[in-house]
Order: sequence, then C-alpha cells, then structure tokens
Amino acid sequence: VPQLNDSELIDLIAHHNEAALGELYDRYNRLVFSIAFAVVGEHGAAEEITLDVFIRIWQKAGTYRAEKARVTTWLTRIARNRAIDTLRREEVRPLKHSIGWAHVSPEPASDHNTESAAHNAMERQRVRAAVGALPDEQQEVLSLAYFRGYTHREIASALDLPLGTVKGRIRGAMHRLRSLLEES
Amino acid sequence: MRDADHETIVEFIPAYALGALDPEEAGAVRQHLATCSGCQDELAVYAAVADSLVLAAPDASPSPSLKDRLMAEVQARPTPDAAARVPRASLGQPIWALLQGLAAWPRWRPVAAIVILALVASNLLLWRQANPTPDQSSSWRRITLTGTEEAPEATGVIYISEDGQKGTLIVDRLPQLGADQQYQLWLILDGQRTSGGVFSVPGDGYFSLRIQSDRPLRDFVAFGITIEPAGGSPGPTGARVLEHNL
Repeated sequence: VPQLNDSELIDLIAHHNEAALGELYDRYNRLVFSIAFAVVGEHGAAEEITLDVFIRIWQKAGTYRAEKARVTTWLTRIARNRAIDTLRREEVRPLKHSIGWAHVSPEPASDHNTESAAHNAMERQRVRAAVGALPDEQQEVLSLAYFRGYTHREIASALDLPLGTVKGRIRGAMHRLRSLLEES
Repeated sequence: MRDADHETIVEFIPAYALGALDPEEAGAVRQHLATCSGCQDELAVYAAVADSLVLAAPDASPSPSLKDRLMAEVQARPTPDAAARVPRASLGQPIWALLQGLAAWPRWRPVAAIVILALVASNLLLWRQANPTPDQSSSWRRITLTGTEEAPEATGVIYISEDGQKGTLIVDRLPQLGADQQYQLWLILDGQRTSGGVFSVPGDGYFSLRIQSDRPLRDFVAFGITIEPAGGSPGPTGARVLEHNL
C-alpha cells in the first residue's frame, strides 16, 4: 500500500480497503487539517471537518474521476468547501483569528523521504513564494476570498473599501499569481 | 454572445475560479462558459491557480488520535459486497475423504500419515515460492500477474492483507471485452480452481476488484484470469490473459 500512487489508493478505498484509507490519511491529514484550520480558526472544529472529509472519501471514492482532478485537488476542494459551509451554517464569519498566508521557510530534509514528498515540498515553496511576492493589499483580499469564501461585495464591506477597488485587487492578484507560477 | 459580453466575462474568470463572484455574476459566467471554449480554457488555468493556494495555508496538524477516530468510524459503517459471488467447488474435500478412507484400514495408516506430512510440507514450500519476501515497509503481500500471449501488454497485481484473509486485484491494460464476455479471477490450490470474482474493464483496461473467497487468500498458490461468458463460469473455459505461476 505505501508504494501505491494516490489514484490506486482511491481505487482500493472504493472497494472498502481500510489500509488504503489509513495510508491516504497519513499522506494528507495535515494538508486537509491546515486548510480547515485556516478557514474556521478553531482546532476542534477543524478536526471535525478533517474527519468528515475522509469519511466522505470512504463513502464516495467510487465517484472519483482521475481525468477531472488530482486526488489532492479533490481532497482539498472538499475540505475548503466543508470548512466554508461550516462558517456559513453557524453564521460565524469571524475576523477573530488572523488569516495570513504561510511564509517560505526551509523545511527539514527528513520530511522528504520519498521523491514525491520532495516534489510536494518544492511545489509548496513555489506557491508560497508566489503569494509572498504579492503586495500586502492583494494578499489581504485574496485571503478573505480563499479562506473565508467572501465575495467581492463581502470583502468590500469587511474592509470598508469601494467595490471596484476590491475587484481590481482580486483580479490583479490572480493575474500576478498566474504569471509567477508560470515563470517559476 | 457579443464581444463586449465576452470581454466582461473574461475579466470575471479569475474571481469566478476563486468563488468570489456574487451569485448573479457567477450565473452569467456559467452561462457564457457553456458555449465559449476560450473561456473554458482560461477558467482551467485560473482554477489551477486557485487550487494551488491550499499549499500556502499555514501548516497545522490534527491530534494523533484523530486517525483512530476515523478508523473506528469507518469500521462501524456497513460495507456492501463489491461483487456478486460465483458458485464454486469445495476445496480439498476429495483428498481428505481419500485419506480418511485410507486411515480406516490399519495397514494403510502409516501411508496416510506420510501423505499428510508430504502435503503439509509441499504446501508450505509452494506458499514460500508463490510469495516472495514481503517488502520491509509493508506487511501486505504483493503478487505480480503477467500477461499471456492473449494479452501481452496486460499487467496485474494482487495485494493480500496482513492477516492473509482479504485481498484486492488491480489490473491494467486488459483489452475491453464485448457485452457477452467478462474476465474471471481464479484462485488455484492443488490443481483446483475457485472463482475469486467476475469483472469487466473500461476502455483503458484499468480496474480493481475486491477478491471474494471463503478461504483465506494466503492458502492459494497460484492465480489466473480468463475470459468467460458474461456472469462467469463454474470453472475456467476461455483463454487465460493474466497469470501468476510458480
């Protein structure tokens, strides 16, 4: 099982293979928890979301289509949507905890015991460097859109900015990220 | 759609990929996307940018006990059978009936005892040959299946769980069959073949199957896959496409 790729694990999970689910959890629990925690800002709630995500994978693995998205994309989209739904359902849209982006930092080599882990670490650093290169005001609106699920209008209201300014910052941030990720 | 509308929609696409548009704007984008391949391509690019943002979320870890909760939850849920079972012949019974008959005659008892010892020893030897040393990082057994002349490009692997009871077959590049035929997995012991499941493959020839067996999978010494009439056969009748032999 540890040698299987993510799609093969999903195939096994679709046939109710618990060891495969355990392996998928070992690979991605921190990624799923990180996005859930960044959205809801509360450890217990983020754990419940993480649990929900993997139970959903257990139940719905048969519906996964490799041609539509990578397994990690599938997992993290579910996690982000679940977390934002939790905020909306509870009508809590806190600005209580700061929702900054992670900084680029050297990672211990011991974390990269496989080629795939090393590749994932490089990808993480690449995206973090690109986000870190954006002006602060673009990082701020982008974090409200991504981690809170806010619309243009909601961001304008939260930050007391004109709607056109918010639209321009979001568009500018995404254009710039596209260029930076294509260059790197 | 007029050019002016197209230009407006293109401007919306980055925010649409993030989910930051108000419902009315998002609806207009969805409507336009249905007929504009250029905007579909543009959306694919920005969706990838949006998806990559998860990697810039600050690192955080759940409690170590969360995995135990997950595994307990899934074990508490019912697991429907993956495939219908196929009737099979009982295993080993003729041999044991013969040995019991021999043992009933006092002068043949030593012969029966020797035969039993020889069977046990040969089964142990066959099992060792059939199952190479397990990978150090996993206690699961991996058995590789190779394509025959009927399907030279096909590959397959069987994973048998740590306790030897359960297993999963994964095949790749098997030719897709017509509606009147299916593949059937055979579990082989002492020359007897028992069905391990019947399956079909999609166009890319890739499929996985939870193996059905009343007997622990670790007991079997060889595995084969044949082409059979749809629904499977009591015993193999068609061409063999994948095999693992001693």
